[in-house]
Amino acid sequence: MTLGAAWRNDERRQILAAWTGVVLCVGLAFSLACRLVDANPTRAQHGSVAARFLGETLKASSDSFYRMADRNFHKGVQAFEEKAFNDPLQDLVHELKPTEHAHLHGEQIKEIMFPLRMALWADPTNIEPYLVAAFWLTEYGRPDLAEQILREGFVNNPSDYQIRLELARLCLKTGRLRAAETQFEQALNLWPGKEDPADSGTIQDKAQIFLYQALLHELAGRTNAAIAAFKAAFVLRPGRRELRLRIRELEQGITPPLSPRAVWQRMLLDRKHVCPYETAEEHDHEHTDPACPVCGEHHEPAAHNHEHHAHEHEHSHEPHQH
Amino acid sequence: MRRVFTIAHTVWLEMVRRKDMYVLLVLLLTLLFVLMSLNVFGLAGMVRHVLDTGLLLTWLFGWVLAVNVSTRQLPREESQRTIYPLLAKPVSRAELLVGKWLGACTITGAALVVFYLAILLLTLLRGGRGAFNWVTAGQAFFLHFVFVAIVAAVGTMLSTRMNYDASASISYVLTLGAFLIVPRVPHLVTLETGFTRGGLLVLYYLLPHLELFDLRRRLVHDWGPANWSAILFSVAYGLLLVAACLLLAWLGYRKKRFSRSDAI
Repeated sequence: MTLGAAWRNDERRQILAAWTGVVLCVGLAFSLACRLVDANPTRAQHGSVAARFLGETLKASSDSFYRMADRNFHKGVQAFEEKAFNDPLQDLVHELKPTEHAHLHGEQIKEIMFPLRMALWADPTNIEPYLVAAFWLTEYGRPDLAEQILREGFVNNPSDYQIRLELARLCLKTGRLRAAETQFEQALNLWPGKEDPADSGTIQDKAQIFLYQALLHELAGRTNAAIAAFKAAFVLRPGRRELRLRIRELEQGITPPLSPRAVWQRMLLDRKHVCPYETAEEHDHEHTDPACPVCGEHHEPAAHNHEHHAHEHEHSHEPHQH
Repeated sequence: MRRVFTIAHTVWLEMVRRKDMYVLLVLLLTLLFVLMSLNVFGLAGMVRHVLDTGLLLTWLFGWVLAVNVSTRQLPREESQRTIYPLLAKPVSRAELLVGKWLGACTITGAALVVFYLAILLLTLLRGGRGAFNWVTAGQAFFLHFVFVAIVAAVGTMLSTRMNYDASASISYVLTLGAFLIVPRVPHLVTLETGFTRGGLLVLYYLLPHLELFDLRRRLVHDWGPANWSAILFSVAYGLLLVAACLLLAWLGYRKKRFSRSDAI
């Protein structure tokens, strides 16, 4: 018997060789897989293991939780659908299941936070839950928590301008003007981020950043910088008479009747929620309140879906906006 | 009537011996404890998600229990051939059917009592004092029990002519379809024309309106108690459905022949 034949007949050696082959194949496949994953940096570097495995499922879950927050905000009533007919059974269902349009108020508002938190756990790149949670936490009297969630937001989305803009507004609300100025600056640098720069909402966000910056410059006595920022806002939103008037007053060295602080406080306070489910009848009234002293618009809650009211409200922070 | 209760009692004994209810209760409590342990932005006193998820699970578990218990009874008696000594006793087939249905719906109702109490107590422990109205909770439970009675009646009806697997599957499909699709028909009809529209309307009036028995929205979002007349109408509607199903079950079962070879 030759040596080769003896080796072939040795069963233990054959098994050892087979196992060596298996280990080599698995090792090669593993290293190849690592290289292939590395070739796709967006998938390799971002997201948890769960995010990589579940992908779109997590995004869909996040959207679903966001809708749940919307439903909770409307006290369980979400769909406002046209119906073809009404019969006694429908009447009975309406008696048992409220369908009235209602919102949570005061202390109850925290009930929307659980689905928003879940939405963020499912997809930390979903921007809206950060903005909505921050807005309502501020309204609820917890700006500290709002700031915490916004900071978490820009750790997860470092290139998003909206979170910076919201944080800047929060800083303004809490009187931290220096911090607000920095955040507006960063928001402007990051604009438009992933958003469409041609979108009217995105453009309005930019105009708002300029407006807030202009008001902060004006307050600090940097008149030239204020004029430049007001002009930049005017370019984005031409035809705003009040804005043009304020620019002229500043150019002529006249102190505008309303202080910058009063203007931005009004802009911030009037950022109330806007509900697309509110009927036209609910908004069928004359505007008796004065227009915004800077942009000439009416900052009132039901001013959504009206082109001429497209100011803060177009980006109101409520779940059902999207 | 005593014979009916005796049969219902045997259903109870069987279910107490089985582990279904205990497993569902442990599952419910585990999920609720996980929910309660989550830290949400450091805020305390949020209870609606506990109540909402708990009730959703209760509806799911109640439905599964009602279908399984009701559809298992008659096929099991036939496959184990215990139906022969049972029918040899002075028990009519109608009594057997009603007894099995009563046992199935009351044991499920008892499980619901435990589930509801667990959810409401956990909500109170979580700090949800005043988060829900006890009258609304009572109404919600009562209508939920009627829902379970209907599902048990549908299961019993189907199990008179089918084996366990088939009757359970069809019961699930029928009740789920009725629960999810029927309330959407008035809206769907606006999107359809012709034959589809007609078909949807037929479904709307043919399938049971199980959405009438779901008061979760009212309870979770604290809308207050429903109008009692609406509750009574719903109960009357539910009892009519139960009666119709049990009558159909009796019609299908009263002259059913049992073959020993089939059982083997």
